[in-house]
Amino acid sequence: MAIIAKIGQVLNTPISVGKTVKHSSNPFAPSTFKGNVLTADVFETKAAKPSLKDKLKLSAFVGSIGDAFPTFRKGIESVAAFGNRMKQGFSSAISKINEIGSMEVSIDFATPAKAIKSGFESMVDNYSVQKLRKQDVNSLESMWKELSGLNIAA
Amino acid sequence: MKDNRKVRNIIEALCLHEDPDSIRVLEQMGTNSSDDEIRELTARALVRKNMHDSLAVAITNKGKGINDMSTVVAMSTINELLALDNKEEAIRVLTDTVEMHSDEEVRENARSVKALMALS
Repeated sequence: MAIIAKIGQVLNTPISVGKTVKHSSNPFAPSTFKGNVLTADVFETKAAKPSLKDKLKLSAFVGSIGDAFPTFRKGIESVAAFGNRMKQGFSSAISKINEIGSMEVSIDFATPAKAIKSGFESMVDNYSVQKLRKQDVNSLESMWKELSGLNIAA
Repeated sequence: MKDNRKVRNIIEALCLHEDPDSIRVLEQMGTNSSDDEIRELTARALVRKNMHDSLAVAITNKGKGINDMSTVVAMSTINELLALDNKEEAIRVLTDTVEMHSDEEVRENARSVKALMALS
């Protein structure tokens, strides 16, 4: 918190653009901040005068802000992209869950039941080819007549 | 839709039956049916029996087998003839039909099928 307060103090100080102050007692007078020369008054406060060490730190920090922002922006953008991806993934997961939720889980007994029925019918079916082959032709003829009398042309 | 499963099985059983009388039953019951499917199955069964009498029913009779009014029945019978492993008896019956049958249409059909069988 203390360092932020100091940055605010620095930034609130008027900065003279393109103006060089010579013969200043401030050791940071020749230091530039984005082309602007910091005057000796930058660090002059009545309340609390920053030490030389603090001034060095602040100067370095302020100078790095301009360079740091693109990195921050990239970071923020990547975080945003990550968030979007997460959001998409989450929404797709939600939709999948909804799909699953709307589905009815059931076990299909139709196929095995059909197979069992077919096998049972073949056992008891008197009209299977295997059983019919064992019968004599006259019996087959009678059965055929009985089954499809209507299909025979008059 | 009519379920002809039992009749189909009877036709199949008669096709596999060794009794020559099965040909008579197939001819009387099957080739005279008003149902195209039954006529088709019967004609194919007669061809598959691959006996002189059964082949004669499917080849030389007008309105039956290869001479059926239904294109499906006629084509199915021809396909069955072409699918035979042993075509000797079928070609013999076709040759006799081409040379001796009284009906021109039957002779023409037999000639065409014989040509197809020679090519296959």
